[in-house]
Formats: sequence, structure tokens, C-alpha cells
Amino acid sequence: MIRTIQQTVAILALSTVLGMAINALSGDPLPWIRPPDAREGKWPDLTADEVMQRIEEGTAIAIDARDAKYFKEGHIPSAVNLPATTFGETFAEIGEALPREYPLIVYCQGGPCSESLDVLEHLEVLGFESLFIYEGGWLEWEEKTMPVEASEPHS
Amino acid sequence: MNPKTSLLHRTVIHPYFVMFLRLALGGIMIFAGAAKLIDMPGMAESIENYRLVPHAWVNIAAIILPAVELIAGVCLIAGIWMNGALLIVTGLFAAFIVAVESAIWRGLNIECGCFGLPDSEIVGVQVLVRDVLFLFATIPIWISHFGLGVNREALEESAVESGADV
Repeated sequence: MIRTIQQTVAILALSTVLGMAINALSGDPLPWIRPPDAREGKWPDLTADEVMQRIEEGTAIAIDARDAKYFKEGHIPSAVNLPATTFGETFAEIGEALPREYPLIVYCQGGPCSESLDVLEHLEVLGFESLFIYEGGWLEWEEKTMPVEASEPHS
Repeated sequence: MNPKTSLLHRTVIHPYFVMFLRLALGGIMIFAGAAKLIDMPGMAESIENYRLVPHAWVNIAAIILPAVELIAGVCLIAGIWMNGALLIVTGLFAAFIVAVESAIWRGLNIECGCFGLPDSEIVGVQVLVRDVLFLFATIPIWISHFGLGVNREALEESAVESGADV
């Protein structure tokens, strides 16, 4: 048992030294502490209740950045599916109709997921002026047992 | 062959088969570890995508984890520090299974980052099944190396007959 622990610690120690050495010798070494994604915090984050309120009032449209498969299984009521992975073609089909000044709330599966951030970046470049993120995403929405709509994908 | 030498000793923990598993699993670990060490930023992205490691710690994992795979793989093949190597390799496969299962459960549509390959497959059941098979493949090595629940005498006899190291 002690021998196993000693060997495990030795392999981990050796690995740490090797990893550090290769990282240091690489042309562009990674910093040990990962800096925060510059896009995080760029767009105002809404709570689930705020998202629901704006949708009920008709003052914003929810944009689901997940793939169509997940959107089809369930999404925020009246949300539009603009998957980050196929943004270009999907936007050409259904996104062009969205008014540029209308508030859009983008969400994906949960947490500050990269799909939301990717779609927000695209929308910003395309000239959308009022953009929000719902960082809680689909996982939080389900956890809070908020209203859900299931349908065929918009694409 | 002595009748004491059971079917188990002649099949799943036969020294040649165990050696094959050590070479296969060790080779996979070396290949994956080396590929990830070459592309640490890509590895960091893959780890980040799973959203299991706190953002600030992602790079630390991306720097150390591939080296752990590489060295554990080398040890497994060379038979050096076998106890530690076997524990680490088994632990890594178990961790990969938890990560993949968790990603599937959360509906994450992400590349698995397997073997450090660019444009690797999307996380799904096939990735999970493969990792489970890899985990199962460590069992004969465990039994052979530690003699878990088997007749050690028969195991050694089987090794002598085949001329291999246990």
C-alpha cells in the first residue's frame, strides 16, 4: 500500500516537472492561472425570472444557442434556435427577420457556456444593439421548473 | 499443465494476454499524452468545454494531465513503478468515464478531446463505451499484478509455462 502511494506520488511529481518543462520550452507557454474569457461579463446577465418577465411582456426574444436536437427536446417559450455551430446558415434562414434594435436574450446549456458567447459575438457584429445573456442557461431553467416549450427546430 | 491452473489463468490473465493489454493501454496513454503535450492550448480548450474544472485551474490541468498520461503509459509498458502506474491509468479512465457521462447528462455538444486529436469526435455513447472497455481492460492487469482473488501459485506456474513475466 505504501509502495503504491510512493510510486503514484513519484509519477505525479515527475509528470508535473515534465509538463512544466515542455510548457516553458514551447513557443507560447500557457500561464498557470487561466485568465478569464474577455467576453465574459461583456453582456448584461439576466436571471430566469427577468427572462420570463421580458418574454411574457413581449419586450425581448430568447435565442437558444444550442444545437437543434436539444432545442427540439425543450426550450424557453417562444425562443428562436440559432445554434452556435451552424450560426451562419441558420441566421440567413430565420435570423434576418429579427429587428436589429429588438432586445435579444441568448442562452445555451448552462453556465457561461461558449455557445452563448459565440452567438452574442456574431449578433454584435451583425449590428444587434440590445443584447443580453442568460448565463443560468437551460439547466437552471429546468431546475427552477420554469415554463418549457418543446417543438420542431426552426431550421 | 497442472489441473490447478484454471481456465482464468489460461485465458484472461494469461501472461501473454496481460502483456498485450499492458502494451495496448500503455501505447494509448503514450500516444494521447504526447499529442496533448504538443497542443497544450487545445487540451486546455477541451478541458474547459467539459466545465468540470474551475476556469482558473484549466491550464494547470492541461499542463500536468498529458504528462501524467505519458509517464504512466511508459511505466505500464516498461513494468516500472507498476503499482502506481496501474492505479493512475485506472483512475484516469474512471475520471474520463465520469467526465463523458456528465457531459452527456448535461447535454453538452462538445468534442471529446480524446487522444489529443484535433476535430475529435463529439462526446456521446460510443466514447463512453470505449472508455468503459479501456477500464475493463485494466482488470486482468490488476489481477495478474496483485494476484487479486486468484491462486498465486497457479498464476506463477502459468507464467513459467509460457515463459513470460507475471
